[in-house]
Amino acid sequence: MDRPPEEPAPEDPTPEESARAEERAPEQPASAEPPPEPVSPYGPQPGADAEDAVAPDTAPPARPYEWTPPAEDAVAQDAPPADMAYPPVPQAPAPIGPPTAMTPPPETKDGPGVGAGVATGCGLQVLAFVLFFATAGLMLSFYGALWPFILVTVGSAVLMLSKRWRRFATGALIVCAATWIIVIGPCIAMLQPMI
Amino acid sequence: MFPTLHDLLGWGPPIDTHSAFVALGLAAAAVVFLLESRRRGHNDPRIPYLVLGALVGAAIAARLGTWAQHLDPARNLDLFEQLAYGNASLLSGLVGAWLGVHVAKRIVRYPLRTGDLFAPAVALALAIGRIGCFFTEKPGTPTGASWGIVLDPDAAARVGAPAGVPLHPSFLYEIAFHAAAFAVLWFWLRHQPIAAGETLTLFVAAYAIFRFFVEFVRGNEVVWLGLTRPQLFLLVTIPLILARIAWIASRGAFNRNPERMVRSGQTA
Repeated sequence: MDRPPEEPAPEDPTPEESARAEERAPEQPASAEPPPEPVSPYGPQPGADAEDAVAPDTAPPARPYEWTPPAEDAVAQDAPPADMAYPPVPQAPAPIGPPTAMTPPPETKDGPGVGAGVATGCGLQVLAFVLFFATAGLMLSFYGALWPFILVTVGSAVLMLSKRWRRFATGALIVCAATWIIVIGPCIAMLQPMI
Repeated sequence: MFPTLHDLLGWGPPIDTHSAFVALGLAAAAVVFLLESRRRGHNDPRIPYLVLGALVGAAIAARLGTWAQHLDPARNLDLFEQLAYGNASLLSGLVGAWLGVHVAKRIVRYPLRTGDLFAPAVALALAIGRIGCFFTEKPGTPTGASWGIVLDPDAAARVGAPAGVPLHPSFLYEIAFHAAAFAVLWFWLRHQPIAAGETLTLFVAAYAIFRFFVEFVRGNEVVWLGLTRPQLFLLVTIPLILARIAWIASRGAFNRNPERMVRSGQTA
């Protein structure tokens, strides 16, 4: 499902190598020397002579891909064991497809974040409570008095349609859901006989 | 019984005690969730959507779960009343949260397992939230044990329990279970190289079995075959959970092999 980032092949020149090669091109004709032997990115192989290694200042080898473990206590291996718990997923190339956890979808970062949404949501819920008590006597039905909470929830849900405000709206809706769990149900049950 | 914080503390505003502890539990769960997300390197911007899915799912299902509890529809609340102030069920809330996370994952296309992030947070939230239940709800069935709780007539009338009789402190049993579960999860299990997401499965399975037996002293209404509604629900779900655990265990998910943990986390 998740593909590791493309690992540069050992024979592929890095951008720095390409630039250096272009600078050297006029004074080092391509036919003057045979091309150097491909160098393993993992260093000299067992049994290879130390003199065979190319000096790093003349032809730096491509840097091997270094995998970063996802957690501090997790140990990763390139190849799963034969008796792996979950069978390996075929590594089919999927240049275009659903975003994965390793490649999160691009999000608009210029809008307010989730934290701002949570903070604003808390303020809006307090305001909703004030409006709830202020207007409860004007409503024909008890449930009509819930309009401030419904308004905040619907407004936040509508904001989810905007990419710029989606993260903010997520924070506000988290507070709405938490308020529903914490306050609205039990308190409405308590307050209904009073209103 | 202490229906408000003023009753409990002797001072302060008349805030509903149950709600106060639920809020405290959710706040503690949020902190634990953030810490665990950071420790595991889950910093994907889609994680808040999963949290939202969990909360919305829990909010809806917690009340819908007790909706059609009477075969006669006239004895049940209508849908709006039920969602607004119907009885909330913890078991239904857990199922709703689980469903909500999966729906959110499908919507935002998040492929990784996240149960490990939720497990310690849920355990701690339940441990704290149950304190609110202990102070405000019927403790349990009568017991001859010395640790039984004796209610005065007013408190007994309020929660519908017999007065002057020692009652099982069933919520204290649950608090002890969740506190122990949180300690096990936080200090041991989350550091073990098991397959990604399975700490939540283990916690839910343990709680389901524990809850099934606690229901015998909980004092909920017995509806069929000497079992309460939560027990009937658990009678169906516990075999499913255990079957799942047996299945993933047979595939090596609980082997002490770190490679499996990483690979399963990437492919789940």
